[in-house]
Amino acid sequence: MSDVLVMVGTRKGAFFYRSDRNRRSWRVEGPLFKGWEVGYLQLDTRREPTLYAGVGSYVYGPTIQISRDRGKTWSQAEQGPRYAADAGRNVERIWCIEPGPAERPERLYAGVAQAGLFVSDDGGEHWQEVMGLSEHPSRAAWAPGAGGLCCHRVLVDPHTPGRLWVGISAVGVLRSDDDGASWKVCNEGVPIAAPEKDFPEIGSCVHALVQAPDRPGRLYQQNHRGVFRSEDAGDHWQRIENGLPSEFGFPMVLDPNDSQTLYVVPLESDEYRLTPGGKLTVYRSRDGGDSWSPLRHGLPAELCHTAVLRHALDADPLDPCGLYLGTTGGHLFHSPDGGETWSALPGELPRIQSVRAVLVDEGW
Amino acid sequence: MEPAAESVVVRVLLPSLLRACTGGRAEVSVAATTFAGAVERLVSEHPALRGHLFDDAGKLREHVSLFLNDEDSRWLDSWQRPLVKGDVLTVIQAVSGG
Repeated sequence: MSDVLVMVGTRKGAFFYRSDRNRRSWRVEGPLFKGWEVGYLQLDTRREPTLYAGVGSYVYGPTIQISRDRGKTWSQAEQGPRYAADAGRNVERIWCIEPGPAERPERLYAGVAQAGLFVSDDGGEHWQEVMGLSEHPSRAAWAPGAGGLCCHRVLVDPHTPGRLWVGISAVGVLRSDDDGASWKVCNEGVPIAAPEKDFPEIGSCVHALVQAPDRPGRLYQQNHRGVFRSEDAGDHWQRIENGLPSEFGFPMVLDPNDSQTLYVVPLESDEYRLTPGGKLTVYRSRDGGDSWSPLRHGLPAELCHTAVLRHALDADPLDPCGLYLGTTGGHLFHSPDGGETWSALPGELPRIQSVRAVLVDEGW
Repeated sequence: MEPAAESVVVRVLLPSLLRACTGGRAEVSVAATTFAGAVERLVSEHPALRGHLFDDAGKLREHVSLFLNDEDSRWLDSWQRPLVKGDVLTVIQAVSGG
């Protein structure tokens, strides 16, 4: 794997940025899916490399598109995520598409709005609802956040077979230890944004959820009400906000080479949801969230009143990792050195919904 | 018992966003006896279209309109309207203004 592919999903299409591992010169391709909202892009390399796109339209609804030829051609999943006709809810958007466990290379998960989880066991062509989550006793009490009632994150635990987490706004984190059959609410220590009478543990608005792959049980989350860490697979959460200007923000990513290093992009409060002071600033922690420092060299220092959505920040796996940040104003910024220095990548794009950075073979 | 009506081949016009579902074609044709039958043939022969026209409950999406000639399907007395030679079915997005 010698090249970097950065897949950018926007309100009106997707754009692919490609570079060699020096990450100095970029080629841009797009728009793919012109006119369609692209909420998420994913590369699964567990078998023949396969690209997945969560694509949708206000008019025509969502679907999953699949490419097995490096993005040259795409085909719609034969039976994309859909609720049963009598379920009383619709799949309105594909929020994430995640490869399943390494030992099940044909399995994928998709988190959707209205909130639910779907699973495919044939490489993404056919999807079934994970009924254990849909039939959770608290389901009727789930309420949407400003972005809708969305299951926006699925994590597969590489250490514990059958263990999954989902992040749902504005419900919280739920964990399954039995392959999705049953789910435990994991919101202890996190403020409940909208308490519900019968299920007081429900109503935490998780914005981003990541796991430390080399530290079993360690999770981080950027929440509507703060930044948190768990050492026990989500059973308990502690605040980790020392040095941050705001507890509010959306994305959070880990350095793929160092699970103590993570990045967030704080915004000014849930009322304003804008970059504080018009300065676009990424914050980095190198001690697992105990402390945070600003990174803004090369980022707009004034008149940058924008936001970064929950899937619009990603890190590539090179060392030092490259970072890629897309704004709601359609600008894409890149750091080749773990956030020390930044520059704008070419293009003024539609509202950026998602950014995914992966390594691919030369010539992809 | 009356004999079954004979199928009529009608043209179906598609918006550009949905043409990937028909192999890139802006126009396809289907054979049916009624408007409802034509819509069902359309999504049977081009299954990728079904989810884009109908929601999970099987209801026509709120912002999708199906026209039989110049009549919106929502205005038809019945989707069982018999088809006649020369009918045109048009799929359009029912969104106007900004």
